[in-house]
Amino acid sequence: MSNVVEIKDLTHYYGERLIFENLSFNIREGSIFGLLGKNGTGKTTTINILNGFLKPKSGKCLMFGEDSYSLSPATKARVGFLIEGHVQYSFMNIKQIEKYYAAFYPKWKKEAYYELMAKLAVTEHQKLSKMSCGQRSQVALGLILAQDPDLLILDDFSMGLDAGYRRLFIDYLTEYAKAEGKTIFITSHIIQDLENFLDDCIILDYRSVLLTMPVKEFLATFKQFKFDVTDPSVPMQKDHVVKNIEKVKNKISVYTFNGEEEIRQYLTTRGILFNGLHQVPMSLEDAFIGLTGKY
Amino acid sequence: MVTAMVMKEWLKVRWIFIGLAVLHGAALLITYYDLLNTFKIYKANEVVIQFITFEVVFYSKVKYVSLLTGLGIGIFQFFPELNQSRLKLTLHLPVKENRLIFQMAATGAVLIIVLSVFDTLILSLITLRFLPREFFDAMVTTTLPWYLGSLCSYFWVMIVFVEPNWVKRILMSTVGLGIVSLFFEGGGYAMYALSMGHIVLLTLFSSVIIFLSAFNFKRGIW
Repeated sequence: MSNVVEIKDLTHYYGERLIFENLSFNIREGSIFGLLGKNGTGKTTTINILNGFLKPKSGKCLMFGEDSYSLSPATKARVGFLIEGHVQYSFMNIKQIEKYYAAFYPKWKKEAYYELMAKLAVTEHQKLSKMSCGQRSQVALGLILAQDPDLLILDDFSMGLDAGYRRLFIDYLTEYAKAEGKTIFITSHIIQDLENFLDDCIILDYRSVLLTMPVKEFLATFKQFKFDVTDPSVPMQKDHVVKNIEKVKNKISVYTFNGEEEIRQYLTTRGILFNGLHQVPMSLEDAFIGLTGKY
Repeated sequence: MVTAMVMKEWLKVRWIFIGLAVLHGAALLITYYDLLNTFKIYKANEVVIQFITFEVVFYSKVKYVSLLTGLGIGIFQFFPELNQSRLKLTLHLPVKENRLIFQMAATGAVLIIVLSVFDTLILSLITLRFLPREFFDAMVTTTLPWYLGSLCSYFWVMIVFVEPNWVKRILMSTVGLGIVSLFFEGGGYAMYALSMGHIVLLTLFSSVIIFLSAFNFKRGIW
């Protein structure tokens, strides 16, 4: 299976501020890839570079084999792009905006758009500016689905959406992507929505990459262990075994890719007196916070 | 595709365009009645001598309305593009970016030209109704720089709005202000008759700079 997106050694600065260095990852054709990270780790910067709206300081970014900064019109037609905040032309109404985009895309599927619009309590002549944030998100999604792109790039689709609209968005995307073998590249600040949706993910930290792997593998191998210590001032820090630590009085949580026995040995060899060591099941959001930290 | 782009741009500017068309109509109507009253009160030869001696440009209202036209259409057309970086939506369309920028600029420019041609036609009728042929010739060379200034102010609003970097935006605003003010200086007849070539060149130069701003927008802020 070929790669739809190839990013190699991408480095970007805003002025003197390093955003990321040597960022590399590929997105497989037909996969759903999540770009996860806290605010300010460079998610939108990556999306802007990928869509050709930012020239990186160095590195290579290819989409369908073309340099993303100078994509041909034919390649652009294969990419559906949702801008953060579901930005669209708010001065247009439901009908006008469909007519506008239809003129540019040869594979335009009007019915995909109107099928989604039928689920909203809106009229054809209702302006986008008079709609709720949730309704606008569905208009933006409907336009992307009608475009029938091979790759969908969705920048923080969950922004401003309540649980119902987030679910509707994901359900529609799942049905569409799975049925038609589309590739999706998505970012979201609400990780819980993506747990059963993503195939692969990359987790960004400030200036670096924390992890790139399939989500199932991440959830299977990344673990949280809790235990009590007799001395709350016991020194513990992150290293090759312990990826993160949370301490509340004498209760400690460690996050690791190692097993229970290895953690037991790790604590013993460091002379840490502990009891009640046990593994705690984690959701994707727990694992994300466990890896990146709460702050 | 061109029709779709024109429709999008028209939706943004239709109300300001209609408002400006009414303003142009009002300015021309006032100009007509002012001239009518002047000719009622004074003798024709006195009016002509007065106009020539003191360089009274009886259609000077058109000057300010033209400036307002360029600024108004520019702001209404490009503020929505600046707001939330909507221009990304346009530049993501499967068409060459320069062609899209050209289509956007051309739509606004055509609307300005429509209003300018309307002004010229009505002013021609008014001038030829009351004054000798020489006033008509002077009217064309007097108002042409204003219409070009209107286009120029439109281009500079676009340049400033599309430019993503605030420092460059301030710089562009200053340069644009300087260039546009050149079109509206002086109060006499045919002030720019000898420098019409420069005025046209400045307008063409301004129209090319919009592509530089669009290039900067696409390159992003570093």
